Amino acid sequence: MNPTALAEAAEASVVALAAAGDHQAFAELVRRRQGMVRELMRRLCGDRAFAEDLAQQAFVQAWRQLGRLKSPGAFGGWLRAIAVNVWLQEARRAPARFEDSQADPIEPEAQGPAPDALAAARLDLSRALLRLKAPERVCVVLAYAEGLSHGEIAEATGWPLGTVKSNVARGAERLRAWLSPEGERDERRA
Amino acid sequence: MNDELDPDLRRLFAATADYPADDAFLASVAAKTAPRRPMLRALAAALPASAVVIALALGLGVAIDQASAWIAPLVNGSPFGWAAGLALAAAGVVCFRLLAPLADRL
Repeated sequence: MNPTALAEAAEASVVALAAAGDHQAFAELVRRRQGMVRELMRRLCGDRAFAEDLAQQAFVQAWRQLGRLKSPGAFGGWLRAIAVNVWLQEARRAPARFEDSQADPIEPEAQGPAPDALAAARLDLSRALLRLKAPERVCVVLAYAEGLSHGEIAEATGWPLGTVKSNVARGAERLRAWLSPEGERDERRA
Repeated sequence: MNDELDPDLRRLFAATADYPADDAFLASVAAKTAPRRPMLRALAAALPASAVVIALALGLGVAIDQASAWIAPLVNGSPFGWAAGLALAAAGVVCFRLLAPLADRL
C-alpha cells in the first residue's frame, strides 16, 4: 500500500498490515499515535529528553509484540498499556529519578508560542505532577489527561481497582492542594 | 471517562495538552525498527546453530578418541571380535537414528 493510501486507511487495516511485518504501515501508526504516547510520557516523566526516549522504547516494544495483538481495533489501548509499562519498569528500575524528582520540569517555551497564563499553568502542573508518587502520578495522568475510567486504568497498569481509585483520589487531592493559591504561597515560603 | 473527576483539574489537563508532531521522533523510531540487511539476518540466525554443531563435533571427536583406546583391543584381541564390531556398528546406527531428529531441529 502506498503512503497516501496508508494515511487514509482505517487504523485496524494499518495495524493488520504492520502486524504482518509491513514497516511502512508501522511508520504510519507511529505517525498517528506519537502525540498520545509522547504526551503521556511527558506528563509522567517531566523531563522532555527522557520522555522522548521512553516514548521511542514504547514504540519499539510495540513493533516487536505487534504479532501478539489479537484485535487490531484495540491498538490504541494496547499501545498505551505498553507505554505505561515501559514507564513503570523504568520507575521501578530507577525510582530516584521519579520520586520527588529533581529533574527540571519541561520549560513552557519548549512547547512553542503559548499565552503566558497557559505556559505558567503547564509549568505548575508539570512541577506538581513530579511531586506525586509514581503510582499516584500514573493513575492521575491516565484518568485526567487520557480520560480513562478506573477500570481501564486497572487494566493498563495491572493494579487492583481499589488501588487505582485511591491513587486517583489521593493524587488529585494533592494536586489540588499544591495548585491552589494557598499551596503556591506555601511552596514559595518553603 | 470518570464522572467523579474534579472538573477544574480536568480542564487544566485539557488546556495544557499540546504535543506537536515531530519528524525527528518518527525517524528515530523508524531507525530502531528498520529491518536488518538480509545477509546479516541470515548470519545472525545461523550463528547459534553453528555453535551447537561445532560443540557437538568437538565432543564427538573427543569421545571417539577416548573410546578407540578400549574398543580397538576388544575388537582385535577377542575371537568374537567380529561380533563386538557388529554390535558397535549397530549401536552407531541406533545413535544416528536417535540424534537425527535433533539435528533437523537445529
